[in-house]
Amino acid sequence: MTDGRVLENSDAAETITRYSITYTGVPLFAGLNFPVQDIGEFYMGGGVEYFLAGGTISMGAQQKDISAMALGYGFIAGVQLNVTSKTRLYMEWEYIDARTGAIMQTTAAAWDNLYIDLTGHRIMVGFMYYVI
Amino acid sequence: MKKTRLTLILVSLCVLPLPLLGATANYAVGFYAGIMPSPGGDLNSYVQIAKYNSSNGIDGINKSLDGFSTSTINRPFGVTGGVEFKAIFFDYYFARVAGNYTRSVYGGKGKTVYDSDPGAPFVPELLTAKYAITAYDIPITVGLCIPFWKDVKISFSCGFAVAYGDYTNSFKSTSNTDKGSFSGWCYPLVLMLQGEYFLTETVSLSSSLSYYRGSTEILKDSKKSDTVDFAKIDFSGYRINFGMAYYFYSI
Repeated sequence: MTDGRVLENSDAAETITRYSITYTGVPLFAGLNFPVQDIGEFYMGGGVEYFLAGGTISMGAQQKDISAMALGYGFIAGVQLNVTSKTRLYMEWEYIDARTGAIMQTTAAAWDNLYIDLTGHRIMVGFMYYVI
Repeated sequence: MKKTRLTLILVSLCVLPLPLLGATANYAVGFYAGIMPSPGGDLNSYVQIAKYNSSNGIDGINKSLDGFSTSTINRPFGVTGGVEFKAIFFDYYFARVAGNYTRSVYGGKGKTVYDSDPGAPFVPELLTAKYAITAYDIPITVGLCIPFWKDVKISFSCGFAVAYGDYTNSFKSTSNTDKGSFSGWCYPLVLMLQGEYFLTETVSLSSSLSYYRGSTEILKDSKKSDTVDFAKIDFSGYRINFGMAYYFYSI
């Protein structure tokens, strides 16, 4: 979730004062796994991620709800450390490049011009349980 | 005194790996292919700012308006591939030179609207936009390589690339048609993380993640029949590749 307030707008025609955006991403990656004896493994892969985003944009006293979807491309690189025979601790770096189409009007022109840029790096830490 | 201590520490750090002098140098050749999201960055140019209401290239060109059948113009998706020559010295020190070809294969086209007469009242018009980019580069990197037993090597290296790019764009509407073509050289910074899994003593599967940072100077459009355009070719971005390498010579 990203939340922010526009303090100094570089474009006088742009009237956004506050935004709050939440998104859900469904990633699909394929790549190579490099096992390091019985300590764990190192892996890298490329793939796609499908995003569903929603939120609220404030323009002065006016508030608008938005929703959008986007397909992005990117990669992951990470390490997994064996904790037990079935559980692993992992740390992963994910980068995805994705932008939505125009979804909302924010300037005097009558068209929708605002897009959400979902591009960025994500660092994730977690546990993995191997069922099989 | 401090200087002497620092020198001793630095010399010790350099000498530490030397017990593995047994394999003095290993040379390998390989090939690989992969993907590059957003080749060319936002593909901004002067014409897009001056005539098509976008101050940030392909990202800002997208507009939608009731009564116009528009489709999102996504940043291009690129494929990349190449051949490499690499050398590993004293098991830990890594040097690599490669030749890469990258081009956009998907995205980068669609329909949007723009104000065809900015001086007059709002006159929206449907606009078909297309972007394409092709790049060739020779990255030269040096770095460190960590072997994990005989199965796996993970290396990190950095350096620069000699890169040549070719960027084209076209914008077509009822009242305007503009085409741009730009070609240029630059020397982007290159960072690279590579993993190798050895199938045999001499053949390995590899995956690599590289980051380029750099763009050409501002280039002038080579198409002279319409409004003269100006743009940079941006080589910045990530590439992920998968391939194979063959270690053909050891000293």
